[in-house]
Amino acid sequence: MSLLKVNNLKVHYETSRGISQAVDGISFNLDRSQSLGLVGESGCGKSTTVKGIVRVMSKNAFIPEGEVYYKDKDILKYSDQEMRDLRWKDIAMVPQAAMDSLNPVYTVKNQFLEVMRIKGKLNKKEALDRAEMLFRKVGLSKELLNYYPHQFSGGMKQRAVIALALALNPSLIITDEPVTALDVIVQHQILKELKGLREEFNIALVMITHDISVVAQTCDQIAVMYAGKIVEKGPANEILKEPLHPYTMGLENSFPDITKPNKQLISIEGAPPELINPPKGCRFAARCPFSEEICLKEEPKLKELSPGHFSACIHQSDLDELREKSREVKTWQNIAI
Amino acid sequence: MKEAIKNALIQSYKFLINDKFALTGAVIYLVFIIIALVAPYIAPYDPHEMVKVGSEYMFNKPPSQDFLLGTTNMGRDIFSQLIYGVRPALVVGFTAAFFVMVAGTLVGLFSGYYGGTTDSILMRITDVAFGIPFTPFVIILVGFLGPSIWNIVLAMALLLWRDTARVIRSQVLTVRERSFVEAARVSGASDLRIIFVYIAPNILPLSFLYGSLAVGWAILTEASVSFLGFGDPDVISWGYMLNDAYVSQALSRGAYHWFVPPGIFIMLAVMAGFYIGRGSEEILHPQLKEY
Amino acid sequence: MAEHSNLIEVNNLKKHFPVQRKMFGNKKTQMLKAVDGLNFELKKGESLGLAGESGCGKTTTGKLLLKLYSLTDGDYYFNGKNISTVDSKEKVKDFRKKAQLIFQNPYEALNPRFTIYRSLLEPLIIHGIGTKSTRRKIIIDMLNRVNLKPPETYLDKHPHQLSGGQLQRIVIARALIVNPEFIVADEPVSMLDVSVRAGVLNLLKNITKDMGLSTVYISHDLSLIQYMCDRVAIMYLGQIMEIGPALDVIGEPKHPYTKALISAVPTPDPDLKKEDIDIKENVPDPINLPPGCNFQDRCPEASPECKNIEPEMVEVSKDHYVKCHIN
Repeated sequence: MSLLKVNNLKVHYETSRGISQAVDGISFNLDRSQSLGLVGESGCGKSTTVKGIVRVMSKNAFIPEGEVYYKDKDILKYSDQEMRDLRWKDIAMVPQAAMDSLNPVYTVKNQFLEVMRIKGKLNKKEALDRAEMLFRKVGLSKELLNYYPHQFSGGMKQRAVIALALALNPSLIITDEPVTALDVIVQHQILKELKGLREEFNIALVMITHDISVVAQTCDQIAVMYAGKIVEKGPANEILKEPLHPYTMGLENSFPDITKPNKQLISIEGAPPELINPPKGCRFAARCPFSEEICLKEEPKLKELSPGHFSACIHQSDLDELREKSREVKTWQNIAI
Repeated sequence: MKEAIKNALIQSYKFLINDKFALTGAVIYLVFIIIALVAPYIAPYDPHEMVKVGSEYMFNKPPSQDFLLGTTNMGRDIFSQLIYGVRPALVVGFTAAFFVMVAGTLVGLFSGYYGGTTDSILMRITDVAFGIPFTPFVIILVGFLGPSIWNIVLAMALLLWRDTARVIRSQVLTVRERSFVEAARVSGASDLRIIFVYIAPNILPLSFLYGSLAVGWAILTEASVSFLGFGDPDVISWGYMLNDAYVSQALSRGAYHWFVPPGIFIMLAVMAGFYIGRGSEEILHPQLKEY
Repeated sequence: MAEHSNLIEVNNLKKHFPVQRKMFGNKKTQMLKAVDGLNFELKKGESLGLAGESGCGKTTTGKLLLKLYSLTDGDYYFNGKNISTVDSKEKVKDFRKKAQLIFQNPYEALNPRFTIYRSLLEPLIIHGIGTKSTRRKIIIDMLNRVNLKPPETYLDKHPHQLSGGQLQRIVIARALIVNPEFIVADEPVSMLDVSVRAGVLNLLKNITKDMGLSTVYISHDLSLIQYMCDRVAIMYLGQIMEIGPALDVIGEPKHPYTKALISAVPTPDPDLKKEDIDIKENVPDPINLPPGCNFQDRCPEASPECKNIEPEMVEVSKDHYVKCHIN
């Protein structure tokens, strides 16, 4: 049984110039034992997707269609009150820059107790015990509970926020760029702890990040998003080693890799399309070195090319050759269409 | 700098068009300016003239076709006084505001940009200016220098720059830290160039805003000073009219036509300044409008 | 006078900031040693990366090299001339023409009220480059070089009308338009979107090479530094812990701190098993540092010696220096 099943989810924005199709029909499954990395450049809709799932969207956003099953119940049909009950207790969300979401005028302990006593209905003793236990798990000493947020460093805050997300024993935790603002050593340790916590408490994880390397370390599944759609999804290993979609290939070209000093970085020329009037065919076609006439007319559907590994591209057989080509600079310089 | 002022004016103009309150304020000022220019053609009498019909002086006449708002106890036409009163109000308002804007902006720019000792000295002077009660200071200075409208303007300019200076300084402190200012320093721009070419254009909208508020304040202060009887006796301003009405006990005689109109005009002038200032949020964050 | 092969030489470069602290009610001014005794040189056309965690002094070093801060102590030679004490307006302006900065945040680095043309015109006016009639051509040529084509379409735009990648190219163009000899790039792509980073990095790499510029890259990202730089200096609490050719330092790190940093860098290869080095994550208070090595608190290999004696820089292989007792 999958824990979270997203089916053809659309999240659109109303803007002064028209409706922006920020997330346009994405589907994925997540088991309780899995961790999924949502990867893509800014504006691809990765944050909007999870905001749509837990329904904490901005006022001008709406969900025209789609289903989100959590433990086989369609939570898009839930009332606002039911949704409030679900958040934190079942699905904990750590938004971007959550470190700054701690209230500066209360000690961290008070913020913990507040959540656990009101939402979790624990008594003070139980709540305190649990807070101490969680602090220990995220690598903070329990004395730190009595501190105010401004006395914490960035890494400590991020840990406290993760502990707070775990306060009510959720079965799914969603984090948005959890380590972006942190120094590399802290980043490394927090990612490691996140992985450990997930296994220990049996929590599924959705992690949003622009950094493929971060996902490689933490997640076993990857979904690559481009212009509001998932273009490739599957096991992390396969996607990182043998990407099927040209966009993923391009994305991997654009990161320096410390283990490969001779890797030539190649950028993907151009910019993502406007989402108010998106192009008819494949949304990546205009930047794709392998696009053909048909890409501009027909939108490719996600297709399972190997077990559990999907790609939305017309190229389905000659992939070894494409991967080879995608590592050459000149491939990306002359975009065919 | 010329270009910057032009841009700031264009921006102010756009902002006026878009904000209903600001537009109202601007229209009020515009109407006042027109009235001031054509006053001799609208006003039926000389405001100083003691009107005589035949051999009879027209003392304390109620409103009529000849005297739209009646006459004063000295037989002067109130409507004409009201119309001519626009002139000193605007002169006082705009000149005071101009000096306030220039002085406040300069103090704020230098204080905020240089920091350190310059800042300490300028800000301590500002503190002193803040410590002086405004209206009494104007009254005393006018009493000392002699009751002329220019002395009132001078007295106000000497104090009113303080608010502008403080606000401009704090704005400069944030603009100063932005990378493009550092970029200017790296490219070798001199301090004065950085202040006037890079920083000033970014705070000009704010000084225009404070200037427009100062117009209202200055008109109000001139009115108070004149009402209290310390104004220029040769200039008929709205404050003077109120004083005149008060002294001749127009209130107890129920001569509303005498003191209500100048009161309304003072209110309109002050309100117009504040209405223009009301849209400060937008004018300070021009990028908000881009989206 | 002999031609200097080193564009930059710094000896014992120091920058201390006074910090006011309250101790038992007494206000006490203490010194924050942001940069504490740096020695390095930079050859003409060479690129050096400064890496380290936040607060290690890498940005302060960059600003010292641009003379945006005054030195607390030490000597700074630029083209063989000691310019640490130069402060006459003319000479500083002359130096400004030769040393330029590329900013981290391109959205902030351009005056929002200037058009692109105006922003690029400014340095030309300040340094009296070109005449009124030739300046437009200089600007258009520069835009071409940073791959903003066709250049004419950019001239009348304002910064908010351009994307991050385009803005950063403008920032690069502004830095290079005065024909500098030296560039400091402070996290040049960290604010940019992933897909355009590679383009900006490649542009910087190629254009600085073509123009024969010496560059200092400041970044917390060692993989970026490895890609961009000939040499790298690992900084920690205001000091250089290890410096040498980028491939040597990153390929065979000698200092325990460098090793820890490198082991923490995430890689896109999930199968790669790296040595996992755990060090305490919190940098100690930079004021009141104990004697001995700055890294002693967090060092997994610290010995009693490290607590007492500050290690010297030792050359472990050609041009590769390490400040550690272990080597």
